[in-house]
Amino acid sequence: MPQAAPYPAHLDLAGIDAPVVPHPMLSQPHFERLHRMRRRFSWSLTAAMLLVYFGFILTLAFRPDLLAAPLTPGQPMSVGIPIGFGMFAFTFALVAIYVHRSNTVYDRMIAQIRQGDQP
Amino acid sequence: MKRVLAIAAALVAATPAMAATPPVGQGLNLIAIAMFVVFVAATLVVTRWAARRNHSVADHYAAGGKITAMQNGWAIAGDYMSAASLLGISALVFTSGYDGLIYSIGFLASWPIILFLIAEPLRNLGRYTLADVLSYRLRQRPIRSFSALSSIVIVLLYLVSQMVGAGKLVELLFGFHYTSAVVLVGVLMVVYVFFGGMLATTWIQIIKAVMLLAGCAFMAFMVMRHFGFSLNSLFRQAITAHGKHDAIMRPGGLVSDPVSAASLGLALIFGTAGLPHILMRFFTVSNVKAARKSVLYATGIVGMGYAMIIVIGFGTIALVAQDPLYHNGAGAVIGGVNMVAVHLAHAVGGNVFLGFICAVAFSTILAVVAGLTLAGSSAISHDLYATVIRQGKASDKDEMRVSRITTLVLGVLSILLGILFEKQTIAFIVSLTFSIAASSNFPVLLLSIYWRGLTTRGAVAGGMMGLLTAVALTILSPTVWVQVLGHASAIYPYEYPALFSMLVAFAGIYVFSVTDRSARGAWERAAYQNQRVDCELGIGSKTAS
Repeated sequence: MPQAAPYPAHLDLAGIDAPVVPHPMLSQPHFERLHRMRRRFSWSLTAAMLLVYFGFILTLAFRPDLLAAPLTPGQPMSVGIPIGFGMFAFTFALVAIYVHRSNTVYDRMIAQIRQGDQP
Repeated sequence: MKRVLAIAAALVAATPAMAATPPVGQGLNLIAIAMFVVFVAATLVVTRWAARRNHSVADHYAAGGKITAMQNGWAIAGDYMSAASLLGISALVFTSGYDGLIYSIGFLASWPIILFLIAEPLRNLGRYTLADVLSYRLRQRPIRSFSALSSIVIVLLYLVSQMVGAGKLVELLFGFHYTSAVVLVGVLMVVYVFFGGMLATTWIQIIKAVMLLAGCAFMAFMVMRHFGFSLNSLFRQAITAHGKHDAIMRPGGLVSDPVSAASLGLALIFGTAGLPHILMRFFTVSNVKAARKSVLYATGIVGMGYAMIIVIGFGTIALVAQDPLYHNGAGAVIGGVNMVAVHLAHAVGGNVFLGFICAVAFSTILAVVAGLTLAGSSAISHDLYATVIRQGKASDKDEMRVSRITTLVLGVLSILLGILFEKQTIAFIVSLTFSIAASSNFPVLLLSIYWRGLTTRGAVAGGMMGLLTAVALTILSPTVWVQVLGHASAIYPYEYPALFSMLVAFAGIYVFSVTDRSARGAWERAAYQNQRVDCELGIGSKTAS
């Protein structure tokens, strides 16, 4: 059964704190490399999502006519419909890319770093 | 149970004769009630089963961390797809066509953000509540008081909107009295959470999500079959049937004004990342890998659900809008436009399927309020009671007792608020909830993970400023100042506050953090380095599992 994780030992409820002892991992270049890679990856995907989403929203606000044109002349479907459903697909694709890369690349790096940390 | 089934069978047999009677808003709906009774019976069995496994605080708050990624994915999808998703989005499509699609895209777009920025640090640094993460380096008592307060405000507002919705929906669908419907929802949610804790809440959410998705899939399939599986024929019929004609294929008035558009987008995208009942789901799985995979499943399920709801929405235009069976003498939709999906269920599946969709709508509300109640009670018992009041010295038994008392109190409170707000316009409450979450919990959580300079002072001051700004701007906006309070013109001209309230929150957090010269503030900045390690490698959570 999972144990309740203790509060980090260095945290004192009264607010009187022992000086921070740097985690040994902080001196490991492997850790810093992983950390940088992951942060860059996460923030890039976040930026991609926000750009596409707010691009869509601002198109709606400023140039709604772009989405109103019929996809093929004579048919009722507007350009906006496949773009709208495409937003669902894009969202899911970004999530899938993140999960795939994390599961394959980063989890392995984390496992290696952890093993190196605990001989 | 046998008697219920017998009634259901008799009603099924009687279906052809009843096909011409208007389906909802005409007194007791026995098929719907029978199906709902079956659902409630099933959830009570689940609660009983869960109660036997509910031994510790970890079980109660987080189902012992034993929920699998797939189960959690369904539960998250269930939390996210409330009755408002099916009824509200299909109603939005019914009235304005394309705008319904825009709304649902915003809801889905929040998931990648949660996954990329929040989910894994949350799992690695926290145990039961988001305050666990915040208090990694911030001072326990002030930050937990703040987080409990904003979480309770969010939970209560969300509960009110669900309770009022439930009362009205049940009054209409089942023919019960409003007050008795609200009391029924309140009592059931307390029973689920009080006895079954997170395990029962999760499984009820899973059952409901599967039912909801199956119902949507059937309706979308029947609509498409009716139009020979051609979206163009569906749209052509919808354009003919709708008063606005081909305007329904274009973006309409929902986001005509850029400030409101940006505000709504921000609230939808970042608000979800601050909702306590969504965030707590990441504590129920055993590790980050499962947390990550559960978002993948949830995004797939919710995305499919929304895509089907859009088809259903256009189906309501094509098949319900001109059918006199679903309109009253004055030509208005029976029960209001929120009922169009329910009418469509009758149109494509007859009375039995109508009963099923009614039961799904009601169970959706039940499952969502149970999750909210659990999130609210853990904020009180784990953050306020165990840490702020007892300073970490409360026993598990005490904490559990307080959590259960809080559950009862929340139940009573939400019943009373539900009755109090019966006649009020509550449409603004959902958007207010998301705006508050986006302007209080979310900025503090995000900066605690990603900004070294954050201090307790900045987090509490900025978070409170964001919360209060969101509330104030909502009160001053046209929806409340003009439509509810009856003033002539609004002081704050835009519909949604998030653009400004998030700015205030981030600015407040920044200013009050960088001007924090205290020794404690310096310690908190120094502690960020170690938090970075635990956030990435999950050392804390490794010992926890």
